[in-house]
Amino acid sequence: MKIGQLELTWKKVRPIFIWIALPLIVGVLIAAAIPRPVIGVIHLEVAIDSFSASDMIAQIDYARQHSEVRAVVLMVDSPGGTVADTESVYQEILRLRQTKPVVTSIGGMAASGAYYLSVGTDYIIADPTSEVGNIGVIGYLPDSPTIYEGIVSTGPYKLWGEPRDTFQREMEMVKQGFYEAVTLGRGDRLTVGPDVVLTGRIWLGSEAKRIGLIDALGSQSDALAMAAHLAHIGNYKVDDLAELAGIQPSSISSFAQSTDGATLLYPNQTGIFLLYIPPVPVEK
Amino acid sequence: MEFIKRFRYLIVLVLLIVPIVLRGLWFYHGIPTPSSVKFPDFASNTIPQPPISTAAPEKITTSAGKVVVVDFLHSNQFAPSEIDSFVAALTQRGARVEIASGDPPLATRLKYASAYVVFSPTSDFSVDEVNLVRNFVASGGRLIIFTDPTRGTSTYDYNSGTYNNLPDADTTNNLLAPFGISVNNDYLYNLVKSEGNFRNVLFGDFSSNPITSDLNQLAFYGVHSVEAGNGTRLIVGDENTFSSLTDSAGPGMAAAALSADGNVLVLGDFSFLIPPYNTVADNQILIRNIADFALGGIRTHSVADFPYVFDRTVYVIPTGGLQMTADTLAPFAGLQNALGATSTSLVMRTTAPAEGDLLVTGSLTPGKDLLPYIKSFHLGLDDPSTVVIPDLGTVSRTGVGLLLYQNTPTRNTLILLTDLPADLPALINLLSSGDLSSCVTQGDIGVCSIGYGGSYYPEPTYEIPLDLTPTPTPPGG
Repeated sequence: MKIGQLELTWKKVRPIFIWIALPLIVGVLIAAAIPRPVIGVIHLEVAIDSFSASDMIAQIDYARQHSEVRAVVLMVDSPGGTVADTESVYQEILRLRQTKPVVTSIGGMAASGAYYLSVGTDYIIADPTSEVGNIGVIGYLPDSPTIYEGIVSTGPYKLWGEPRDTFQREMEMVKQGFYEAVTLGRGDRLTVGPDVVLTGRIWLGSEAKRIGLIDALGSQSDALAMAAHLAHIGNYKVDDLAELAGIQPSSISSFAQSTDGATLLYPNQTGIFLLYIPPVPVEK
Repeated sequence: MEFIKRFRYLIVLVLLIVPIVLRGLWFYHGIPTPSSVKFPDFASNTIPQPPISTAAPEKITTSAGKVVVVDFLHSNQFAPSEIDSFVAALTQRGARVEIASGDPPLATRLKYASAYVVFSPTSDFSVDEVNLVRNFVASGGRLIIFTDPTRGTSTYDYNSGTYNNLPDADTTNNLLAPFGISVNNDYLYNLVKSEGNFRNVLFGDFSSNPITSDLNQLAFYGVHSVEAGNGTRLIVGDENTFSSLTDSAGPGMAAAALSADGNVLVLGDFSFLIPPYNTVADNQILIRNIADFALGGIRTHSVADFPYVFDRTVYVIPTGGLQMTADTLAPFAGLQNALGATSTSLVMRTTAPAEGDLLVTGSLTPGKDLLPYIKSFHLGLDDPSTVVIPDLGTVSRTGVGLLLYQNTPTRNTLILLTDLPADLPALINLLSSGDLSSCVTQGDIGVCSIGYGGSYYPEPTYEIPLDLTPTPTPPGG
């Protein structure tokens, strides 16, 4: 009876199990396979040089290749850096943006090249006192070409690269590219023209908001929320893309090293830079 | 059961999907719209090229023999090689350029200079130097000051660990104060239209002046703004040329100014002299025009400028029957040597030739042959013991020599007068020494104390041996 009852019960329950419980379990299992969306975070807290740019590009590449990374937040606190490295990262950000939203959160500073990267993203958030801008190019001119007894080259600029005058004019060309990136990135949100933007000024976050260099004042959490909003996701998790991509931030810098081993903010070579170099204190 | 049996496939489908949908909706709230991303067209960006010069064939007006003194005494922030284009323009015009770095002193150099050129000084001009330059300009000399915002200097304070700026504008303004022009401690920039960089400013607005003739466009490479005061703003920026001091254009920023008397030219830049910038736009024409300006002044020398009051062969004309003796030949030889500095020669003559400068010697009791030379000085020579000099008053003739200078476009005449012919060597020696500090000079007249001349000291007296003849004792003493 019991067995009969059990058989009876199983008979009764079996359809429920087969047609309800089993599909539900399968459904839950399948649902569990749906990955929790990730907002990947890329930190830029140093100057942009070949090392930091390589690290960033690897993280961007990871984000592009992994579907669970639904959005990326670029957390910036940087004075900028070299032109070529900045432009490389900038273009990688644009490619990433074609598939996933990218939001910038500016901490202490997004100056020059760091702001260049920021305008490549969908949305820029900064603290009220973040230092934003310094749009322009700075260069250390090479010496006037000369010849040395012990150095022999096959052309007048083999050693010097180019005439000093050309060097300066190239800076103007790089500036044009920078400004184009700003106007493309900010579009109608930018409320001032080149006469203001290209002064090279650094604005505080609140001023930067007023003239449209950034979109909003807020914290990193706000940036994450905006990234989630743009990606249409919720209940996401936040992961450091450097960790996900297995990147150990490089300790090598192409910028000058002081005698105590610290990395200084200025380059140790002539060249063109998208970089903010704080002025030396001067008594008037 | 019947319900399950009837809708089993639907139920399976729903139960399979619902967890997926729920979880999906838990995480994903919609389908994001990909951004429409535009990439900058980097390839379309080009390197700006400098404007081409519109230089016309040069017409050189020679000014042979003129001297331009370039200051190197005030920590001037330039290298002589940087001003080669300017020096070349001057030498093409027959001028000689001297870099004033030591002896002879500036006061001596300015006696004969046509122009005094100062590049970015960073050590102060003394009061004496300022007065010297002011007098130089008042006598028709040209003062040209080039400044440059990139040419200041700085000192490091080891106590505070900071740098102290020493801009060239401050030092320059000290020198410029008498002329009503000043240089601002700023730089001009133009973010709208520039020569390759915002601080390389293009200028197309010029006042009508020989210095700006034939100019269509100039390019200055880091330039101070210049305040013209009562003078002329020669080169003015457009409405987008801003001063770094105010970040605004104001009423139009001048990069060069000319003083009201037309003898002082101040420029806020000299990078435009340096290759390759000297060939950009019409900079080369400006350099030529400045060279013409430097040599275009007409110096009105005063007697204090001796020996540089002469610029031709000097003929010595003795009047009053002066005899050449051993006492007079030596001083004339010294005078000949002194005139060597002016590249003029001294020739003795009894009568004045039609051309050439004259050095006339004579007495304060003039003969007929001297009167034509001193007539225009209106000296009062009636009293045999004094001489009345206009604006100077009455002067004793004893121990005094007079220097009278007359400058005409065709001839310079210097007249040396003493009370007695014997005093003349002392006056000539004084003149030859170049040190007229014992003379009161007033324009074209100098009154010199010649002290040891023959009329001042009595003939040498020697101790007369005492007559030791005993005085006879009075009788009865």
